[in-house]
Amino acid sequence: MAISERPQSAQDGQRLDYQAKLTGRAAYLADMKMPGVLEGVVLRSPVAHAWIRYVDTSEALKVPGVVAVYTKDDVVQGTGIEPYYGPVFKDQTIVAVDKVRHVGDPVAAVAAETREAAEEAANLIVVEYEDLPPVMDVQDSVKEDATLVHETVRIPEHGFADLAELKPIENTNVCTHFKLRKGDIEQGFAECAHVFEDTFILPTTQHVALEPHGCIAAFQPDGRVNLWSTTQNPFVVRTQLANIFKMPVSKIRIMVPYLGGGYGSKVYPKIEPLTMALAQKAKRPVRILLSREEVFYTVTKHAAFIRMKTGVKADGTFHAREAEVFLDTGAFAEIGPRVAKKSAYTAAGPYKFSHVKIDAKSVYTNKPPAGAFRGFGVSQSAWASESQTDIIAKALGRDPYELRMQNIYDEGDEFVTGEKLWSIGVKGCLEKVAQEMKWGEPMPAPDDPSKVRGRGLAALIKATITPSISCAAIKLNEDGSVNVFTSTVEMGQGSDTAMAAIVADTLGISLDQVSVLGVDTDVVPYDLTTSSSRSTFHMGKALELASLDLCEQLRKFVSEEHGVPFEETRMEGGKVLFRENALDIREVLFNHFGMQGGTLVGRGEVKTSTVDPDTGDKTTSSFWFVGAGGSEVEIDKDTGRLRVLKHATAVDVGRVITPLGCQQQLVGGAITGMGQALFEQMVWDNGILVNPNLVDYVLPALGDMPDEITPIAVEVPHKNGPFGAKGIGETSLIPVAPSIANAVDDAVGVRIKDLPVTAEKIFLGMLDK
Amino acid sequence: MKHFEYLEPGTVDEACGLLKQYAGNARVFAGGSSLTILLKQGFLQPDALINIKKIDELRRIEESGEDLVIGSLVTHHDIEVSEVLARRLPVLCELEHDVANIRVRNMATVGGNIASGEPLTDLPCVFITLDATVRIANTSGGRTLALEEVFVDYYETQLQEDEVLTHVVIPPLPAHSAIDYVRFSSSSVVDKPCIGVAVRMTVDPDGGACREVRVGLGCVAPTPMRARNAEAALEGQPLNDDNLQKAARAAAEECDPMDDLRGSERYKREMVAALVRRLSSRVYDQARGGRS
Repeated sequence: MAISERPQSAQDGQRLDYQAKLTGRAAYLADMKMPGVLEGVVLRSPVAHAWIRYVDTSEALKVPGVVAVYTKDDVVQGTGIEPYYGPVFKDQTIVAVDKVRHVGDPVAAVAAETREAAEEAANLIVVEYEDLPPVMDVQDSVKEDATLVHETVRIPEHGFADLAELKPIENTNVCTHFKLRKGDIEQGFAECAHVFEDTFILPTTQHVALEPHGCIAAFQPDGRVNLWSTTQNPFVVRTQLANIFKMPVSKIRIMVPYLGGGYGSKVYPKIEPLTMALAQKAKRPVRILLSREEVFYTVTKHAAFIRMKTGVKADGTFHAREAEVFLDTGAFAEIGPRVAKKSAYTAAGPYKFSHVKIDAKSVYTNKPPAGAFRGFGVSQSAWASESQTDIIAKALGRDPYELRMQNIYDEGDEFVTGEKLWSIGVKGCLEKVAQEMKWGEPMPAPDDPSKVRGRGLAALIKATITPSISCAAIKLNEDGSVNVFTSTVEMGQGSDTAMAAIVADTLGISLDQVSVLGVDTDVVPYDLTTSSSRSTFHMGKALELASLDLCEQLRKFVSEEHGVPFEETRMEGGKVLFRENALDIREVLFNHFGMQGGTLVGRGEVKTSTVDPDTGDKTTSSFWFVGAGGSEVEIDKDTGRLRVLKHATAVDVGRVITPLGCQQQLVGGAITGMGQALFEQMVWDNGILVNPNLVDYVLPALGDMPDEITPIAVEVPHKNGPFGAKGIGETSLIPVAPSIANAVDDAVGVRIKDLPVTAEKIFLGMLDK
Repeated sequence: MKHFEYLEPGTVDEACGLLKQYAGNARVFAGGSSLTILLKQGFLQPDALINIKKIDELRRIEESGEDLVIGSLVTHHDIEVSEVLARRLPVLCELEHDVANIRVRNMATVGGNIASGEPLTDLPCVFITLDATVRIANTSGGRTLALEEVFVDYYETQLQEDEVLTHVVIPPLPAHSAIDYVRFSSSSVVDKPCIGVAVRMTVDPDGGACREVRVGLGCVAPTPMRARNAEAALEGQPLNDDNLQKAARAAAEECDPMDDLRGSERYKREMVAALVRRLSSRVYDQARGGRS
């Protein structure tokens, strides 16, 4: 199908949700009221690794107002529950059964009439632990004599198609070992004039979505259960709950109110299994709302340790790349195996290498589980790859921009997997960023002689989840308005507006004729997930197809009614045109139904696969994210304190759908990247998390932001995207950290290889030089 | 959070009486910005909270003779926008722009800032270089202490169980004096300070010797402290590279910082030296330039 023109309806528009959100009227899960609901409170492990000897709930049950206490006995003692679950491996349980595996691991839960009663009861539960030595980082965890986090790991019968080859390595803490090979690595290095070896480190961080996780579960008299949950992928959660509770998916209904941010922290089951289990036991609706501290124990971003070795020819051609990526997946695999796989695909960066050997290992430790995080393994590998690119440039006396341009992918180039890359505007992104950063021009000297400035660049490539499915439906009402049925979760990314714009433009109606309904698994068609920056491309396309389906139905009516060949009808500007006639949608519907009433339904589906249906070629990703970022920094030589003066980010978006939303995503991603680059890290001391709060876990503030963050949308349309659009949610985050570290090196000659880039590391780097 | 009695006395005497009655099991509540966190986390479980917000006399910033008197209920934001302070001690208004955020500055009070004994804070460091004293009310009439002596250890002060800190009293600066403060954050601008350094000195109009040098350090010891060796290194001489360097090194040595999330001990000592050097030089120039 030819790529349509640029969509028009949202060009000057605002977000559909802005009034509700600005006035505080948008309803989130915690705003919901439900009669008879009990408050659920979770008792969590105070230790990182221990056998559970016994759990005594007798005193807790005596607290007035307590209705149910849920413990390991409820999981194992034949209550019809499948004890083990997890999206990739079945290594999670609703509450800890034999062992606790991280501080904050749920051990029991209480449902009571009030939160105070539930808290009091939880404090009265007696648990006896027998401590085990905790393994707190990947390097310790992969040692031969390391204590095992999981003695055995169960594999589900029907896992994700793209992860089928990944298995845990028995009797080790290695949860996944993914290998990517191209050419002959040893021969590759032998052919190189220069070989570089470096080690890069990233700490564990947390998403810190504004809204903590929450769930309400209410069983119905007929045995069905309704859940309201803060989830980015309700259908996946529904499948997991169906497996755990041995119920058909049709009996589980999940509704998702507006989500107060996701960033990957709300994919796959989080608090839902426990809330549902507690409701089942209490025979009452139960609500669990996590505190900020509990969120830190629920999901994190993978810490990483990366060894990178790169061989370069005398003329600067990148030739051989070897990388060993260790990702700290914490106590449970969660989606860690896929994070490892995605990290491996891009450990060679957006550059052409003839020889590649990548080993990505996802490793268990006694930290909270690490899962999806905006950037999904690529911000880890890109930190290493893009930092090393500048190390190489400096050693060879080459300009980092020129060296990148020499080696970067272009249209039709072969990726490390052997497939060809299309719609790959990374060169354009790097060019635009360099222009915006005035690359090559001298920087103005700071007024203050104690300060120095530097500039840095970084580029990236990233895959989206493939294969996947998005189904959509649109209901056309008798007045010509439409309701959009989509499971894409509006979590701040602006998807409601983008989806509505795609529908409005395809049908030729105005944006105010379109309403996007909320997410309810009993109502909306199936969608795999709102993550992996996939919604605009996949769900947007499904909605474009659903809109075209409606157009076709309307034209068919007109064709039949007026005896015009179908091919001579067309739809434009919300009207069906034939010969010199133009019928608006209302007239067509009225004529068809013979009265004011009736409904048409348009359907659309997108199903991607690992084989391109047009060419038969292998396809690792249904489209590729590419982009580049540039930073200019100023450093106080006396203190090492760094200020980012300017950041520019260019993303190949395929086609801009909503200009405002697009800018917000690009700038928002860059801001998240600043936090990851400069401040954020979860810190442990003897297995205890030191900073599970927003006093000591430091987020970026407005005052830390540069005066300018310039978003640049590069448009290289994709043949399968709606209007040519691709996903944009994660790209701009990834180059921020390496571009800043590269700018620091440019300014003061200090190479920081472990995140975050702090004033102390810069200062001591200068001092020890 | 444990249940507690909530009381709102109308006078300082009444507050002290209630505190005595609860014999150590009550807490004075002012802005609540720090206390609420401790209560929520269960670190404090008092039987009663005694909210002193109705005692209006503690809410004022006044000139009393030559002295400045700041009531314990004065908020950080009150200081930030105070006309009296802008005229007499603009350093206080300026530093408050960078304290926490406007929501905290609107609630948190001077009294709470001191009485909490919180080590990572700004005001006390400046107050001690100003030779400030505090007035303390109790059931036996009250007392006055040098502010520096109020602090005992991390989160620990001299305040007894029946005592309420009522005022901070700041004596006037001598002629030809200047004072400045640096709030140094090692990460985000809104993070708690990693280090605070305040320097005050008077400069002889003839000869340019430094007099009455005060170097206050915050966040690098269990309590805000004066770097007396650094002060001595500058006292009685005109400022030059040599004594500036000596003062900076002395301050770095006499403080007692901890390795923590905001920096290693080594880094903090280096920053104390760098900031004492930078600030002393600036303050010296200001004092000599006549700005007091």
